[in-house]
Formats: sequence, structure tokens, C-alpha cells
Amino acid sequence: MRSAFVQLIALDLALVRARWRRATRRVRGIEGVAGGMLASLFSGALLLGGAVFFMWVSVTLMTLLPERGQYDLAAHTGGLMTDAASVLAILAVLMADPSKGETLRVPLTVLPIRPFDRLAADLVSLLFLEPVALVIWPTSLALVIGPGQVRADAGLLMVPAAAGSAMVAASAALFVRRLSARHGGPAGGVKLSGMWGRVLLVSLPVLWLLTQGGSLESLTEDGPLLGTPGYFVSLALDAAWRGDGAAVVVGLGLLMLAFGLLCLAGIAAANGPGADTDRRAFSRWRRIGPLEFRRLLLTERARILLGQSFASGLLIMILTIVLSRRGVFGGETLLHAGAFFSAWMLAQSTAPLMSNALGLGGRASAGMAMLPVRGVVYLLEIEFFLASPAIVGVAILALLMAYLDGFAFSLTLVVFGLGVCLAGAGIGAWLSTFWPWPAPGRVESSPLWPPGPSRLLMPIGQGLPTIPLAGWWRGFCSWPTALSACLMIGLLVAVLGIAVAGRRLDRRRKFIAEALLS
Amino acid sequence: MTAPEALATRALSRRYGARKALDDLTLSVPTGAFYAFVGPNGAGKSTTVRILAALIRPTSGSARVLGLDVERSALDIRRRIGVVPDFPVLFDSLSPRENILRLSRLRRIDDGAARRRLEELAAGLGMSEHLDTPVEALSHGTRKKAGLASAMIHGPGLLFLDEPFEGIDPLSARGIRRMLEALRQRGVTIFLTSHVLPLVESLATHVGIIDGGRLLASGTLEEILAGNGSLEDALLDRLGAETATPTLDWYQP
Repeated sequence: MRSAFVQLIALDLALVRARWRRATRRVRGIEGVAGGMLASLFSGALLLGGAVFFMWVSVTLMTLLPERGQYDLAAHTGGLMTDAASVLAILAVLMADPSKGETLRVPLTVLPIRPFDRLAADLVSLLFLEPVALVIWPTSLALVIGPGQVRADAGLLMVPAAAGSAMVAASAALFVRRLSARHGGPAGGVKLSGMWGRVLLVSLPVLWLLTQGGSLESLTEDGPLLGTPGYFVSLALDAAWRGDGAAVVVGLGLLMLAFGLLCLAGIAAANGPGADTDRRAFSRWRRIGPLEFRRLLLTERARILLGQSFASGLLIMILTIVLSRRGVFGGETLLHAGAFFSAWMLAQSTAPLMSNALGLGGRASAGMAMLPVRGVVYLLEIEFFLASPAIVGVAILALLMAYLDGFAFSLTLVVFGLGVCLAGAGIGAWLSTFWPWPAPGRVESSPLWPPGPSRLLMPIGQGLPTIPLAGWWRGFCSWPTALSACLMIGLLVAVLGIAVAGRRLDRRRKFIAEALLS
Repeated sequence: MTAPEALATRALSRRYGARKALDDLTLSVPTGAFYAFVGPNGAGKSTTVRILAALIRPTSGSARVLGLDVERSALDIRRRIGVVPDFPVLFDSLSPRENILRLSRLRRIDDGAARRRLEELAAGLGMSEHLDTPVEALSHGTRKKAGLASAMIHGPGLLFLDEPFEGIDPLSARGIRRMLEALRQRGVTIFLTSHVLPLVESLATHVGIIDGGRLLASGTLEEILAGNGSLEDALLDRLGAETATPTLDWYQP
């Protein structure tokens, strides 16, 4: 009979396989046997991919170190990690969220398992099996690059340092999980893991910037990086460092990073909650403004999302201001990039709610969707209320930037934030009619983001208004044109999205109600 | 000669912050008894089960289960008991078969034996056709039955069942009831909490009544029923609570 430790690892592996099975079950036509085969294939590929990735990074570190010296090594690994983190994050997001019971291993509490066995198995699972491992490894490697560069004699010590850092990150994740299970309650778990994930992830680009300082031209010669986000970010940093006015690349790079980080933050936050639905009866439909505001935004779900986003935005701004005052990365360029990153965090703060406007309130929201109100009016009202705190957040940031950097950049920031919020409202309304999901106000046993494609499509839709601003940075258009176009795209997405979603809601109320009840 | 105690508590108390969930609880349950623990919502029933199943620690007092101290011998107790607590005991994304077989391995039960036992338990509980469906897709009642099968797979001599009939349809309740009757006949000690008093009355040999964390009465079913027509009467008599009858004058259908 194998030891409890081995059995626990086998159990975790079975849970990962089951999540893949659930994810692939959504794909019509390959259900049944094919779905099961895919599940096995994917779970095997996940493990194999993780192992190969780690080996690849290790081998790269060791082979490149004597050839290029530490700077190129750091840059190369940085690009590599961006690619790996982006791809793995999307893979991880595609896997359905584990439930609270699974995350906290609740069923094991009634079994005679020694605490040491559980602790050891949990650590191994966090490092190699669970989706959070996909975040822990790249982040940990990134965290050791900075110190490794500062100390010229660090050399190959960076490899064990990366492993040690991953171990610390896994221990921290485990500690947060245990702490939230014992003291914070389920909501505490969501808050803690979400905040931990964001703080860790937000620090990644800042540390990255700090580690850059030389030419990255040699990177373009490296096949694996060509055309990938990692290549793009490396090129952006290189261009900006050379001071040839390529801030546009930096902005877009950070935007892509933000997208990746949002996905990763979603995974971190998903470590607390589960997938059960709240069966509590919902209060009657109230169309009066303040009451509607309370219904949508004075919920635990909204409070957690707003808290995480505002805290992350604040943290980014504090770091950015401190670093730019010290002249890091050109000072002003870093300040602008940080402000945009912070504005993005604030503008997408209620994105999970916007993308599931019809399902807010749990199963009882099915009754709301059946009310005799025109779909356009219904969705417009909800999306307006959900967008309002995000807009307020961007406005506060714009005020701060007006004080720090003047009116012009502040106006750019306002337009950027407004465009993102408007696009979010449009794409969110549209998504909510396609993938409605019963999300209760309390998050005791449900994920923050609705499961399914919304969590990927929403950030992409919200990113649309940023294209003209990138064009202005690059010199393709003038500043007024970029601002107008940004706002126009946001408005267009909002109007089209809500109109189309409203018509769809009118036509498919029964289908949507059924989806919310099933 | 009295039967040895399967479990006994002495001045057991448990606080959740400022709230006292259990207050000076002293009770004993003889081996082989079917002990029904009844009381209103929030009375302290689930907290008692959690302490006795070595899932949480008492704030003060002591408890012995199968002769073992719940604080010092938690692992040994968990080896020898089965629990259906008031929280999920199966992983949502796995099927009952995957769950129970994997959890059985952690209890060091041979795979072949576990499979045979599971088939028999599933047939007895009327859930054979659901063994390979993910738990998340099962009804509340089937989940309860799967939880019960998981608690019984290692053949424990003492079972803790927290609200096993909650949300269960009559057909499923009959399956669970038959299973419990069979266990009782084999001398298994059962500690059960439930609000389904007629069912409890037909199964229990001993009854304890708790309210506000304090034990109001404990004894054999006959002792508790003395002077009352049913267990419901006995419970309401001990609680001494009456609810007002609403007039609903405003209600005009």
C-alpha cells in the first residue's frame, strides 16, 4: 500500500484531470470518449509541459551564462517568462475554477491523514500540479533576476535561487490558503489570495524594468522569442531604453502584460471560492437608482473586486511615483506607463460583474431577466451602475496625474479610462447574454469571474479603445485624433454591444432564464 | 450491567468569538446505541458533531470517543469513525466512484475490497446509476447518499451523521433509513442529528435534546417520550417555545 503522501499527490492529479475533463466537456462533438481522451492528454501535457518548461529555463540559464554574461541572460529569461506566463495563464484560465471545497481540500479533513503528509503533498501540488504553479514559477524566476544582476558574482546561483523563490511562493500560497481556511473564512480567502496574487504579479513588470539596462538586439536572433509577447516586450524595453521615442511599444507591452496579469490575478483569486450556487431568495426588482446601485455594488462580490483593483492601482502608482522620482527608466516615461497601467486596473475593476450583468444575484436573477422591461433599458441601466465606480477610480487617478504631470496627460488618461469603461459596458452586456451565469452577491462558494470565455474576451474587448492611443504614441496620428478615436471606439462598442445584447435578451429570455437556473 | 460508553463528554464548551455555541455539555452514549441529537436551528448540534469527530477543538471541557481523547488522539479517532458532516465531503469535479475509491486508498483499504463494498453500498442506497457522474452534477439527495457511502466504506464502529435526511425525498430517505436500520442491527453506534422527528423516532434508541448550547434532556427514547405522544411533542415541551399565529389581514389574493 502506497503512503498517504503518494495517495494525496495521486488525488491532486485526479482533480487536475477532472478539471480538464470539465473544460473539454464544453466542446460539443468531442464529448464522451473523445472528451475523456482529451482530458487525459491535456493533463499529461500540462505536467509534461511544466516539467519541460522548467528544464528549458534551467538549461537556458546554464548554457547562456558563459556566452553572454548576466545582462543578456536576464533579458532572455525575461522574454521567455513573458511567453510562458501568457500561454500558461490562458491554459490555466481555460481550466474551470476549482470549488472552495476542492481548493481547501475540505473532504480530507475527516480522514486520518498526518498533518505532515498533507503539508508536503499540498506543497508539491502547488509547485507542480495546480494552476497556481503556472504563476509561481515564472514569477519566482523573475524575482531572482534583479538581485542576480546586481551581484555580479551571482552566476549559476540564480537557478537554485529561482527554485528557492518558487518554494517560498508556494509556501506563501499554502500559508494564505490555510490561514483563510482557519480564520478568514471563504471571503477572507478570496481577498487574501487575490491580493497576494496581484501584489506578486504587479511587482513583475516593475522588477523587469529595473533589470533592464542594455541592448537587447541579440534577442531578435532567438527563434523561440520571435513574434511572441515576450519578444514584443523585450523589443519595447529595448526601444524605450535607447530613447528613440518608442513609448508606444512600452505602452502596448505593458497593456499586454496587464492582460496577462489580469488572467493570472483571476487564477489567484479563484483559489478561494468554488462553483456552487446560492439558493437564497432575491429581493424584488427595484428600478429606483439608489436601490439599484445598492443591489449591484454593495455586495461582497463587488466590494472584493473594487478593493483588489483600487489597492492594485494605488500600489502601482506609489511604486511608479517613487521610482520615477529617482529617475528610473527615464522618470517621465515610467510615470506615464505606470499611470496607464494603474488606469487599466481601475477601469477593469468591475469587468467580471459587467460581463455577467444578467447573472448578478444568483439563480434568483433568472426572475429579473424575465421582467417585462426592454432588454436595452435593462442592460443599459445595469451596465451604467457597474461602470460608475470604475469611472470614478479613473477620475481620481486623472486628478492625481493632473497635479503630477499636467492637464494634457490627465485628459489622455480620462479618455483612455472612459473608453475602456464604455467598451467594457458594451462587450460585457453582449457577453452576459451569451454566457449568463448565476453569481450570488456573497462569494462564499463561487468564483469572482464568471466561468467560460467571458474572462478572456472581456479584457480583449476593453483593450480596443487603446489602439488609437498607441497609434498616437507611435506617431501615426495626432493627439486630438487619437483621443477622439479612443472615445469613439469606446462609445461604438458600448452602443452596439448594449443594443445587440438588448435585442438578444428580448428574443431569448427563456433560454437565458434556463441557463441561470440550470 | 450497562454497555460501555462509545462516547462521553464532560462540561464541553465551544465559543465562536463572543457567541457560545456549546455550554457545559455533559452526555454519554452507550456502545451500540442509535443516539438522536435534536433541537432547534443553531442549538449546537453540528458543533457537537464536529468536536466529537475531532474536526474542531472544544474551548473547554473534555470528550472521549471510543475511549480516546478527542484532542490528543484525533487521527486515531478519525481512523475508527465515519462522519457525514454538514459540509461537503466529496470533491465536486470527481464522480462518487472516483471520490470514494481514492479516499479509501487514503484509509489504506484494498482497491478490490473498496470496489465491492462501494457496489453494495450504492445498490443499498439506490445510487448505482449515479456512481460515475461528477458530484457537481448530482442532486442534493444523491450527494448526501454518496457522502454516507464514503463514511461507511471502511466499516467504522461509530458513525456521526449530521442532518442525513435534510433535503432528501421520501424514496431516498427510505433507502438511507434501511441502511441505518441494518447498521443498528449489526451493533454500530450511530450519533445522528435531524429535524425529521418522525423518522428519528422510528430509528432512535436514545435521544438528546439541546437548545442554546445546553443539554435539556438525554436518555432512552422511552424516557424522553414519557408523558408525551411523540418526539415532536416531547421536544416542544422541553423547549417550551410557542410561535405566534399570523393573521395576514393584509394578504388579499
